[in-house]
Amino acid sequence: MADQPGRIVVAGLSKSFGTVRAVDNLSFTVEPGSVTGFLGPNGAGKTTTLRMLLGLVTPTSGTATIGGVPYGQITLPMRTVGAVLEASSFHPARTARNHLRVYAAASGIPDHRADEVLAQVGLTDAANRKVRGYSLGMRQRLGLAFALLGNPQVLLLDEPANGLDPEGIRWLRGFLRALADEGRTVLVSSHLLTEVQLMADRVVILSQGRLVREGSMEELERGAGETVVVSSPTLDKLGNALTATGGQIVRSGPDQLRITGVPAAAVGHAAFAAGVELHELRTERADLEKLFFSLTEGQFYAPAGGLPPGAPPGPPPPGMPPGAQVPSAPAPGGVR
Amino acid sequence: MTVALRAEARKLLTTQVWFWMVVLTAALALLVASLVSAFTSPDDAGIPIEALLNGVVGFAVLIASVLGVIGVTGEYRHLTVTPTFLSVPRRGTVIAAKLVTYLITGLLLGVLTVALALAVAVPWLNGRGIDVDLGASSTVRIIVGGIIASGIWGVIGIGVGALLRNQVAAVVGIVLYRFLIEGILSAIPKVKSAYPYLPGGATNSLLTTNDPNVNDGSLHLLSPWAGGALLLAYGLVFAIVGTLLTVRRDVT
Repeated sequence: MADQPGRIVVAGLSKSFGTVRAVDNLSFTVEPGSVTGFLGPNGAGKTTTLRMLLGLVTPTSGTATIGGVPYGQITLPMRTVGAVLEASSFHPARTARNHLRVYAAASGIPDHRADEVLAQVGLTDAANRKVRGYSLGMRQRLGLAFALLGNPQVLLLDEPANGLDPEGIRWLRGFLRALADEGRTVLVSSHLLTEVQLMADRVVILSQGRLVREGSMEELERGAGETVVVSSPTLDKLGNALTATGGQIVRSGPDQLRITGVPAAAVGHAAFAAGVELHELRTERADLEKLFFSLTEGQFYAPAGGLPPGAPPGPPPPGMPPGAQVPSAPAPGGVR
Repeated sequence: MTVALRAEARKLLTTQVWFWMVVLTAALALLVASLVSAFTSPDDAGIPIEALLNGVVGFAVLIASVLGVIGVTGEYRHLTVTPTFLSVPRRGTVIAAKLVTYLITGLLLGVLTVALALAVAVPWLNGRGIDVDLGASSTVRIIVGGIIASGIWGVIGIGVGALLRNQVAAVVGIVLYRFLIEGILSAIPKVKSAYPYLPGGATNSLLTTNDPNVNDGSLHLLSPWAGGALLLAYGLVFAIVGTLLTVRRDVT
């Protein structure tokens, strides 16, 4: 059912700008009836991907379809797909109402929709003012009104919370939630996980143009949690004992290891079986922000590959998130 | 295409640019018509009403082309290309709609210019005892040809705008060409033979049989039909090349 109305399918999508590979063999799907967070640091390729989905940027290879069809082949596409891109795509001397009526005309949408969507985003009082005098937040709202003009099944929003005050962000959250609950497909990009954490059902995480994680918010939270922290005076012995568990082991202190991928019970059992003395055994639920950082790190900072295995662990280098320490023991699970 | 045309008409009419361009056109037409009417002497060579029309049509042509340029380059300047291509993803359709819109706009500017100039000059000249024969074939040629030339220069404005995308570069380019480059080209002996085929020569073939650039008898302008078709071809070629080379580029 690749051509289900409202489903977004990105398949093997790549885009190079000169020698820069902005998007690299990216594949993911977005289902109707959900809010999907499209996450990644600035420069990860989110905007380029959205623009390829919207036919504004031509992919180097791969396809991006909405309801099984490339955007450019949808007749009167604004009735199917609404998009919010950069905050200022307005003629400064045109009023908000006229701005919307121009694109209503271009999409065969009746003029009264302009007033309806302005009311929906709370801009009725400013409808006849020139956009020149609009604040950033008002421009974001007008951008959203533009996206809603055709009452579309699919909404693509690029950093829609930029420029909104906290109350505006809360309003946006409820607004997008309501749209998804009506069965629409909502894809929201952001460079802040916390921003989409409260509204997204699913996340697609991008780093350096590549997909690093796709799944439900729940799966992400589960994946992020459960780091087992153990302390022992005989760390080498413990490390050897734990290798068999298959977890990913990171040395985080002179007498401390952090293990991910195995439950605390398995760690305790392995220590007990090997006869290792434990001073600490606890489970830490790493927060999502940390996971997000660890998934997307290294885009602008050199990877911390300078330390040989077994080197004495120091404090993490500046700019490096916790949890990204240099492995001091072999990590059989490998980096996921 | 119909929806794209409606959108282009709205874009033009929902900012004040068109209004000020109309005011400028009208003011220039009235000014030039008044000056010509006041200072023409019955002994002057040539037909005063034709000299007047030639002058005001020159302004209409320039303003029509600048409006066309702004019609394309304004989209890039204000980043409205994004919503424009989102609403009409076929970029050729967008440019085609603009060509039609600014052809009509240019024709209307031409009508306004000619009508205002005649409304001032005909009674004024008649009052001064200078005969005006609007039915003379050369006068009719300037009236009709001038209106058509204004329309076609609207098309050229879109073409040049699509090709260059930069507003300042496109406006300066057209003005420089009209007032400087074509003059230089037609002064160079070997290049001069190409003059009837240049945009300026083609424009003049719509307006007059008596072009100072060719009146030494060695060159002849094209017929009005051929000149008009050539001028339109210039606009369309610019627009097509612009669409293929620049308008189709990624909008980032």
